[in-house]
Amino acid sequence: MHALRILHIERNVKSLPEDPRYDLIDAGRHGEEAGFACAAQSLTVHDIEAILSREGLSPDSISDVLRELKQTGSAQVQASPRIGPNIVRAWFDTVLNPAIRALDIERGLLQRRNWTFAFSARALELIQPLGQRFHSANLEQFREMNPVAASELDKHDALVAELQSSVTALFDDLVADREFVDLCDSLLAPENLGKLGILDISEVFGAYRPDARYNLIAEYVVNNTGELPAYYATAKLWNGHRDALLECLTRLPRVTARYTAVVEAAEGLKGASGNLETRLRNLRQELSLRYDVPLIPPDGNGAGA
Amino acid sequence: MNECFRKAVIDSGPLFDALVLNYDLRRAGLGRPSRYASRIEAPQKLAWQRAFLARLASIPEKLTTSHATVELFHLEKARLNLYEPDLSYSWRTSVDLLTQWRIDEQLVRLLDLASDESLRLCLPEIGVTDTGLIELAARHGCVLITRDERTLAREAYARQVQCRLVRQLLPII
Repeated sequence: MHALRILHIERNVKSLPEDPRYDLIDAGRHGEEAGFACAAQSLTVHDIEAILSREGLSPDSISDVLRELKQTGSAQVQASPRIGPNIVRAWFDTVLNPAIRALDIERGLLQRRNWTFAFSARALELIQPLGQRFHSANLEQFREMNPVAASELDKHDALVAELQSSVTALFDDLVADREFVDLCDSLLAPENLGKLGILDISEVFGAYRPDARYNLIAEYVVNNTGELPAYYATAKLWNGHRDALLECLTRLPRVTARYTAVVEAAEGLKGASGNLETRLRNLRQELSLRYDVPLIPPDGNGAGA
Repeated sequence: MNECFRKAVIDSGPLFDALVLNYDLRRAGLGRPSRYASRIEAPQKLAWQRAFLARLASIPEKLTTSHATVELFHLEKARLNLYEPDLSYSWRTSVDLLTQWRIDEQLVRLLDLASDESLRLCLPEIGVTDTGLIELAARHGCVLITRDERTLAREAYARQVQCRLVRQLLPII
């Protein structure tokens, strides 16, 4: 079914014969006059001509409409559908609100230099390209109708990819670094575990496989992880040697170079993230006020930001 | 109430509470406010919540059933109903904690329960999940930890299976 939008044009009964004026009712996307219809009153012939031209009608069609208006005092025009409250609601719920929320979280993480890198997925868990995370037909439509925001979104996503690859390279170089491995081996030696009150290495890593041990420690280091709560099996080891392990980021030459690249990539992303969030917030506000659509549905079930 | 258990079977309720509290604490570590502790049946005081996590962590062998872990998914949908990216992050923190705790998930087969003379009668009354938890605790001769006083705990007591309610393990502060 094609969505219709009808423009009703009628002679304004109060206008004088020598200066005819017209009223226009934009009947919305489904031809309904109730609800979200927009009305304009006391328009001149030139105003009507300009409006129809903006709606994309051909000069011949415009002439036909004006002729009909002159003869009968009213005319109806079928116009192309345009954005309405239903589309705006869908954009809010599936694109704008989740994206604004994700960007807000993202900047907090960048500020803390916690990249949320997970060695098992080799990915940043909470810092992801928005185009990928929120991919849907709604996002595609939003991009088509908002090219400036789409361009900023692409820029943001390219910087996320850059950060992702920088952090992965940092992780790879760290776990491959002989000094890091030696440091881990030393910290995991029975005599050093004993100083932390750990009787056996099996107490430290829970059900993580032995070959994941260096990876898990490297993940903590790469993410600048803070102190772990005591109910974590790894808490004693990490909290006890956190400073020495984090020092690897600034002490081991190859790792330090990678870490510097990560921090630079993060700074670039932070700026792009802030700009994109501002643009999306402004756009959301504009759409909300123009189409009378609340930012979050009244029932509160949307992915609010 | 300072009983020490070497081994315990944990029901989905307390396990879910632990995962949600852990998720909230991990979120707090990322500078994000606590939001979800209010959606579980645990006291709101942070001290109690941390003590609860520490209490479960202190049990060297933690067991549960596959049916109980399936309930974790349904509990998330019913109580939290998270959206991305929180949904993925909550699962990741949960799997991390369960790995750290070396949770031993065991399959208690429905057909085995149904072929057991005494458990067969129990199945229609309390369902496969609760029956499986009782059977697992009985099989290992260990305590069953739950919040479900009316159904699971009552049936466990009736079958002489050692059982502790969360409020018995850790009094409300």
